[in-house]
Amino acid sequence: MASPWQIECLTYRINSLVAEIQRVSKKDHPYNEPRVVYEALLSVLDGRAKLLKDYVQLFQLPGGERSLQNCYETVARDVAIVAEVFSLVDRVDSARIPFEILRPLSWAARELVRGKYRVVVRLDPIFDYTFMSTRMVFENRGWGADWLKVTQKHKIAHDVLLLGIPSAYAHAILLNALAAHELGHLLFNTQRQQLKDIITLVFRQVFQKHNLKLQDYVARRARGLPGGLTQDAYANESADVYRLALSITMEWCSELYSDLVATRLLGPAYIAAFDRVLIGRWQPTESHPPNDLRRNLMITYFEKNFPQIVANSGELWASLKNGLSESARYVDELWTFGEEVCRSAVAPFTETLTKIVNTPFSEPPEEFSSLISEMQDHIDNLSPPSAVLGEKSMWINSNGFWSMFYAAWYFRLNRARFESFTRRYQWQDSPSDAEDALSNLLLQGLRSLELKFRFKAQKTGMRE
Amino acid sequence: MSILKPVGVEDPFASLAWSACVATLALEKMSTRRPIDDEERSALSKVLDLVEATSRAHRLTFEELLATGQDVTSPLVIASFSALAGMTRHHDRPIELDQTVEDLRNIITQLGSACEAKIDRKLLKRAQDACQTLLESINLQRASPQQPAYIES
Repeated sequence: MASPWQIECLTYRINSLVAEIQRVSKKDHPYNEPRVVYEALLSVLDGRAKLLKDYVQLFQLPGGERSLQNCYETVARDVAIVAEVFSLVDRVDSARIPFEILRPLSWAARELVRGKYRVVVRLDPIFDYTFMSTRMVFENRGWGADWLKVTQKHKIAHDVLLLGIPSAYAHAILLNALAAHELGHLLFNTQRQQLKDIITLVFRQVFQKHNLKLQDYVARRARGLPGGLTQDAYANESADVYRLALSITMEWCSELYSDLVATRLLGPAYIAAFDRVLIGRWQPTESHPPNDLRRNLMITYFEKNFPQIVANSGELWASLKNGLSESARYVDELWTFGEEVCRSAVAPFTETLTKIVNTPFSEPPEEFSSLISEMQDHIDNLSPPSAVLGEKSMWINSNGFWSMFYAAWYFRLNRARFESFTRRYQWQDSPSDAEDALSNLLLQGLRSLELKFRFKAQKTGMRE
Repeated sequence: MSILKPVGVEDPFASLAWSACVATLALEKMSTRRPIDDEERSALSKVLDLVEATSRAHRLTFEELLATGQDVTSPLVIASFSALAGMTRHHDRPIELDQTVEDLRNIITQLGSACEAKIDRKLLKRAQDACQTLLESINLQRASPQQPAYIES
């Protein structure tokens, strides 16, 4: 049973976390959204503190030990999660954060997912790129009511997206091509009802095909337990394996779908940004398929759906394809299962995405090539690529937004051109300065495009 | 989400554990004839949903479950297998799932009616015990998520 001292320690932790969140909340922030998240977290903690108090009151007599222990465990775990979520929205005021990227990203999110969003950014200590919907973070952890209460109080109708940029890459605007993948997750969640049927069908087909192998796998796992292969051990292991098979299916499908969204919007530019973050061969996990498989599927998808862009992109595409390796073969049956789920889901996902996600690559190939070429000429002369779009009003939209990322990465990956750029402005001794300049031009371009879009929307009375 | 790994604690059971915890409190309040609020009522329904799903997962083979047109994308289905594994592994006397479904349904039906004050205390106690077992199973799964070993040939 949780002793009075343990309950006291837990209460102390809750109070300390409340004090810390309140302290950070009082700091100056460039926007209001972090405060709303802090307030919702305080509401979650308040609920846990009250529940703990009620339990202590109702279950303190002999006979209530089991209940009190369970409550203690549950609240302790929840408080740890609150602390972790708080870390995602702490230090959002660093002077190194490129705040100018936030508005264009919010706009891109709105155009793709058709919801209302504001982006909050923090620097992440590790080499990862994260983007999460606060509403979903709260709902997935059972705190949806707290989020609703606080956003209603502040009359906030939009979701807050928490963006985490690797601290070491804070200035690397090119890396924000990865936002396309994360926005893909938002789209996946809004389309969940429609995607449910596809995923269920794929799961059934792959499960039927692998059924015997999975049964063998369950038996092998049960045999490895201390008591050996008994009926109970088999039943336990099969429940675990089915849970894992279902969980891997959902998680990997969500990653695959988001990769395909990003590839549809950015093609090779997304793969290039992906390579910047996922250095080395990562093992598959319950949440993410292995890198090699993801890369293979993205490349195959793009080549099949946009052959003309591949043909026109020459060196850019070739340099990315060089890194293509064979898919790994797994001993663990569940990874093989997950891989087959992903391969089977590509076709139905492609069909769905073709209907709901606009892509710059579906524009006439000659026009697209000419646009990208003009943008690169501007970059070569230290002029933001958006200058080209001022004369082409049909590109003042999200297609223009993603095209700029494409042009910037195309420029960066064209070895001869980028080296010439580096020499021209005397950055030979520090090529990363040349990439920083490229990032700045892209940032100016994205900001300018977003302003152009708003101006156009106001002028024509269209929806912003 | 993140590009390479889950961010923070991905805890699919957080919501269910909270509901089981609140439901236990609600049942205790009811057995001492205290009023319960909307959140507590809602928690009882959520626990009922989980126990029903777990009961299905227990009764049918996985193939039979798939044949029923089960939505495999539902977090509840995934949680039900986890609860089942946790319950059979960690408890000598796992709860009677069908009995718990019946008990909780019975209690929820009587809530808000004239019979609310007369709900049998034994029934409340049995449902409370079941909630505790469920909560223990869920919390154990939360503490140590199972990860299969990865070996590349």
